[in-house]
Amino acid sequence: MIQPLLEAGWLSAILPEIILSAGGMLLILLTAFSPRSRGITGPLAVIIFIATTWAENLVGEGVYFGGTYEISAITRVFDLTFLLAGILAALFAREYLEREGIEGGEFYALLLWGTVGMMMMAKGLDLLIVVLGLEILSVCIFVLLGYHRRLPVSNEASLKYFLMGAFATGFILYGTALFYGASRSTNITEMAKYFATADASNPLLTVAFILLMSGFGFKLALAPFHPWAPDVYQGAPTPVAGWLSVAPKAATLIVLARLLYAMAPVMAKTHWVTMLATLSVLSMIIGNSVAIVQRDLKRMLAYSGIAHVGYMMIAMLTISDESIAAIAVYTIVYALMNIGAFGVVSMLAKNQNDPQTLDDIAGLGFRRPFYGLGLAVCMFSLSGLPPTGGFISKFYVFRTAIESGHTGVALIGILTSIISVYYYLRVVYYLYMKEAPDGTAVPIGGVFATGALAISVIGILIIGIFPTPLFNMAGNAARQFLQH
Amino acid sequence: MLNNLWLIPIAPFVGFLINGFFGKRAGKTFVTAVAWLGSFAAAALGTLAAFEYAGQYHHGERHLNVIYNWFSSGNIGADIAFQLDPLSIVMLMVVTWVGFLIHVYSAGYMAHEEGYWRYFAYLNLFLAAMLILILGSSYLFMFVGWEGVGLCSYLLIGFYYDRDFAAAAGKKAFIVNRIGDFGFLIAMFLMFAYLGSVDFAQVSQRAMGSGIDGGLITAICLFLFLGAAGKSAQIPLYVWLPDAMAGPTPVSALIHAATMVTAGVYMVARTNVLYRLSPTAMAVVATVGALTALFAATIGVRQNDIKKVLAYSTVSQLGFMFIGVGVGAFSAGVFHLVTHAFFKACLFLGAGSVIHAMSGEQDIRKMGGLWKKIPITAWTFLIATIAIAGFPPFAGFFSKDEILASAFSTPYFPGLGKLIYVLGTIAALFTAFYMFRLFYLTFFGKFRGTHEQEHHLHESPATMTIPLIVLAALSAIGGLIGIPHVFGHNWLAEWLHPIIPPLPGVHDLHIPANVEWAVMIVSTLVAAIGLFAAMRLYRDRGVAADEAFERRSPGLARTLENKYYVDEIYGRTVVTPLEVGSRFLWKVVDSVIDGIAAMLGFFVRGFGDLLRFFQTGNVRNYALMFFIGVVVFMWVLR
Repeated sequence: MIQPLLEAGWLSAILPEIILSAGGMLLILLTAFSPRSRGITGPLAVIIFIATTWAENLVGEGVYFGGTYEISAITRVFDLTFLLAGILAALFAREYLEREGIEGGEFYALLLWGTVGMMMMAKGLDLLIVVLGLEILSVCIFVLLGYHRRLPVSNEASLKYFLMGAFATGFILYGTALFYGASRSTNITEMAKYFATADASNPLLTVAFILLMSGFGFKLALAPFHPWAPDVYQGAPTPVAGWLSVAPKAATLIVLARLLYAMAPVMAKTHWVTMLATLSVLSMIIGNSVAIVQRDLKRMLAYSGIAHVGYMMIAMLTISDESIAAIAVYTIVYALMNIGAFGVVSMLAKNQNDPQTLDDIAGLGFRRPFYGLGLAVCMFSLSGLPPTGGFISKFYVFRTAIESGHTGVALIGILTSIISVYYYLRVVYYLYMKEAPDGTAVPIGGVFATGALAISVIGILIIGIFPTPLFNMAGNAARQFLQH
Repeated sequence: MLNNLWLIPIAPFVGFLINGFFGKRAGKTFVTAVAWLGSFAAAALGTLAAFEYAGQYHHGERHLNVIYNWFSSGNIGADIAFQLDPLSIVMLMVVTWVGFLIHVYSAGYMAHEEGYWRYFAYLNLFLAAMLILILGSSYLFMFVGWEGVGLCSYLLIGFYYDRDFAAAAGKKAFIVNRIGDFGFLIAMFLMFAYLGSVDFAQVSQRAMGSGIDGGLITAICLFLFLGAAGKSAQIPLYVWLPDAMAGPTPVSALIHAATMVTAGVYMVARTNVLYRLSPTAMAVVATVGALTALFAATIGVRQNDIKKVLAYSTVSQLGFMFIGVGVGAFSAGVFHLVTHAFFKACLFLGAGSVIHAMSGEQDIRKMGGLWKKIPITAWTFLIATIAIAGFPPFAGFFSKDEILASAFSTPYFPGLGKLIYVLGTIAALFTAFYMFRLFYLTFFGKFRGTHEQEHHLHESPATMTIPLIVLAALSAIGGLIGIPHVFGHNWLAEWLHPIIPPLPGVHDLHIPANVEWAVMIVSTLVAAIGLFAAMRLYRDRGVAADEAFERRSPGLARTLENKYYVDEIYGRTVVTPLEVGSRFLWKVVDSVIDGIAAMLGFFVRGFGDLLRFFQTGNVRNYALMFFIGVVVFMWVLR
């Protein structure tokens, strides 16, 4: 029973996952035995995340567990994205939970375990591992969404995500089953061998592809599988919404990249790519145009998130080392700017059951200059203006699309991101050009939230001004990834 | 140090950050200490680097210190890299040490000003940007510093932002410089497109290679010169510099006399390979320089604001430098840059000391008789005046002389060279005249100010006089670094020789000994005539001489006083039409575009509203949508 674990490097291969899992249990036990220590669980979670980041370097690259678990440079890049998102979310959550009176080790434990799920998705070479990771992640998300359990909106968000999520998982599982039926394997490496010679006209494959993509499309909140997102983000505890809008999407994208690369020979013979292009275009158009009419900040960010995944999907249309690098960088930048934006919203002191609208940030740039500035930088970056990271990442995505011949889709991306400038800059307008109505509460944020926002802002600017090292790292990782 | 050249600009930048963030709350002592330390560290580190360089490289090779690959996209790329070579070392020494002296001086001069911390923060920032400009290894990185100094210049000209004139002057400087920057940018685009690089060495190398069209080189050179003309205040873009005197006087000394405005000269010297390949471009540079030198010198004769006189003098002297680099005497141009930094900084700081003593008065008609009252200022001012007028063996004599002799014997355009020599010599005559006019009106005759001003007259504190003395000493003996060949060893020319590589088929400049002698004698005579005329008119008769001139030829007097009405002409021919055009674009074209945009916005918004209709909040409906989506995809891909 123990024997397989002792095979070379297996235990150390999942060292990051082990640290995260054990750390989560530790936090729960700590709260159970000493309820007073709730206050330090947040910082402890951050420390665990940082320890995991360090542990990433100890893991050797290779394929483990009988060809089902791959650790390579690109999985490391994505692991770092998950960890970054976790750190930012934990920092923003610390004071938010305290203010709402719902602080506890469970919250952070769920963040840590959710990260384990995402890492399994990113590294899984077997669709079963991927689904297992996805389910670990999903269960954590259900609970995190309903964490504010006395609030009806929070419960509603949790239930909606659960019902729709179960629905979508069904599609993913059916898709997997059909692929298994065709290829006799759930292992992506094996499937790739099958796809290389498969008969592309087999309708089974097309159905499987559509089912799988629909399920993943749900997880990514791609139109037309998106309607859950605004409702869920709005009801979720705000730091959770920020994390949810970034990290699980990154995990799903890397899975998608793996699968699409394996399917490339079949894709070349069919027009499956139409579905991907449609998802991308619909998301960009619907996300950006509906965001314009939103006054609720979280709903606006939800639609903006739909649009952003639409942009990222452009790079998925043809998988190459450049497109994977572009997506890797995009997700990192997106983690910084989107969690940062949600973080500022989370500091707006208000009854969490009420919507947080544009009026709540009026004049924030003068009342709390740093938060105003931070939100403004995030907005500039989301709208893709230089010198922010948002500009660079969008630029690379559009460039890879144009280089691989998807000019039309890239053009729609560029046009819709021009539309998006309107609603992003409206936020900046409210920050600096509107007077705060009387009696607007000043946002509450302590040293943790401020620190997290500082990380976001500095990260966005550094990537925007010095993009080369990050791109070189991601590019090298992506090249390695595609070589085997 | 050689591999950590970034430390040099970082030192004042840290000073800027500290003073910028904490200066307002911290005391003046703290602010002063930080600012002095920042500039001194740059000077000390720079000197250290220069010595290390001299120990390591014996033939003036280029030391390259790549910090970081800035970006690379396709085959275009740029590094953040610093370089050290004989030319940048000369610039480095001048900028850091003169900069440091002016920092010291500023502590005394600005002691009672509001916004003391702001002033020093900007001054440090300026130094950092200037150091990036001269240490950068590519045109692109140089441009970063170029824009940085432009920004600081704007901020410091508008330092007294509550005075309308200062704010307007800052804007004027900024806008006029934009025109020059446009030229610089176009030149860089041309380099990227046709030479494939903006690195100094590579650009030179590839320009020398075969298959490069001569027209392209000329275009690059002329666009670069447009940039240089903006920054270094040459015709037709000189108009901002006299207005820039609205800034604090030490700023005029540092930025608008000694360092920033010479950046254009530095750039042309840096680009000497390209210029020598294009005699046309050189002829343009030299001609513009000569015209500017003469034109500004004549205006200087009729100005009554002590700083305005010096401002036009600076424009004129920059013209001399461009004559130098334009006729192929690059080391002579740089030489004049160095000596000018000494004597003009000394003159401006002296003027500041005078203004300080006169309780803020700047009109020389209300001064007079200050010789005894502020002796240190007066003596240093006199030394610098002799230096700029060009009397041997003071600094200005050697450098101006080398330029004029080079113009006379330039091999690139011999005929035009003689003409430029004549223009330059006339400008030198005017220089001596207006400088001594300034000197006599300020320090001799009777005191013409108010009683109260007379009561307050006092010599400046040591923080101000010590820099004056140091600069006066440099003005006196600084020329010895480049004495003519007929006397011995031109050390500076030899030091700078490696940056001017020999080009196949291009003759290098050589000054015959008899020309050198002749030019020296003529120059000295010319300076003496200027001195003599000014002495007769202004020492003996004071302001009355100006009034007599006004009576005799009122038209000419008014034209000179109004600077040939150039500002007014620009206003009529450029600014007003632009305003009318902009108004048209704004009122007519823009409203059409706005209308279209509003209409589009209306549609998008309507579309968004329509889609929102599907957002029912009901999970069953969402599941149905999901399902329909899947079915539609099945149908499409079937």
